[in-house]
Amino acid sequence: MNVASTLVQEAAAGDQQAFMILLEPLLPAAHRLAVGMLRSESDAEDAVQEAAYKAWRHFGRFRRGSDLRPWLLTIVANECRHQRRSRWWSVVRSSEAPDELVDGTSSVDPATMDLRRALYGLPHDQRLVLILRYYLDLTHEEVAVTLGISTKAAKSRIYRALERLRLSPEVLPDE
Amino acid sequence: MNEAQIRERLRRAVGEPNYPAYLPSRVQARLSHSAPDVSPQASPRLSWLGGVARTLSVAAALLIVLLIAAIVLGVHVWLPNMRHSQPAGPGVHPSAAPSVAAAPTPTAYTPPSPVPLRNFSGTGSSTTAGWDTAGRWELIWSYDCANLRHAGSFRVVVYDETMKIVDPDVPPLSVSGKVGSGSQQFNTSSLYHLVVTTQCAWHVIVAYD
Repeated sequence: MNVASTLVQEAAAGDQQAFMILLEPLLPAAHRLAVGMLRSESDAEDAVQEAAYKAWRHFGRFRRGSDLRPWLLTIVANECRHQRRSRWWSVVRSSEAPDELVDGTSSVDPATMDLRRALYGLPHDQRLVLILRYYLDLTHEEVAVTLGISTKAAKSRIYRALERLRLSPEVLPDE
Repeated sequence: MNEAQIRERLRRAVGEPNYPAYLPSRVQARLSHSAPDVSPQASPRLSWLGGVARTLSVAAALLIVLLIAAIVLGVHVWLPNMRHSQPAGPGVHPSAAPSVAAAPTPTAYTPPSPVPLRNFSGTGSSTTAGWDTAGRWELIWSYDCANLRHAGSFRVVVYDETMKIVDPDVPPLSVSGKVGSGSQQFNTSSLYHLVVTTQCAWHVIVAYD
């Protein structure tokens, strides 16, 4: 049994330190996903914190031997969706200030601004595949595992989302 | 547009966040206020049981709500029935009160309705036409002084054909107020008529009892 398996076993048995050891390397990706989905650093931190809490609470459901990263990213994505639904005012705020930048810079060319508006106008599922694929650099297989769909379906969803953004891709590579 | 260009454009659109170094400690603090669920890997049955327990608790809560609703409804239906079924006379032991199971159906008792013989109505004093009876009869009366805007009086005297007051045991009807109604029973048989004395609108029914 390797170290990761031991940690998973200990975390499943209620060892919080073991869980944190498993979780900490994944937090940057989780944070990046949340930022990409929510476009707000503070909301992203809240989402990651809440997702981590839920992951800990339901760690018993994590299948041993499977990859922890897509499992956690799924929870983070769900938490982002939940936050956007529950905080209706954040939707209002987003529509009122669509050009707010995550990194605080303000000099953005009009094309980028248009793309940003289009990206955040996409439905949650389509925005999620693009963020996972191009912002987190996940492979098509990893995107598929995170979304719980087939690789083919993940590719198709990415393609449709890109088309909606008028970023007509060349033929998607099979990696 | 190739993958690299798409990636580059999307990253520019979203922006590059700074990973907050305090996030792990923040997460740790959140976790320290909680305990994990039991692990289904260690004990898959426990997770299954947990789901069943949740379902059962919801079902139990629903049953309790239904039970309370049934009790409240039952009290509302049962209490009026109890009032109607109170023993009227002496010698009826309280234990003779009907039990819930044997409670009568909630249809109200309806006495046999009298058969109308004559129907008189008017406003102000009047003497009615006569009628003949053979047996028990009833005088059902009502008056309404709404036209006066104050209380009035209503008096009815029943005379026989010899202009005698009919039943000496039944005093002449004489009431006052803004509105009223009632009935009187008579046991004599003869040819009768009524003399109504009032300032109000009135209605009298003569009926076999």
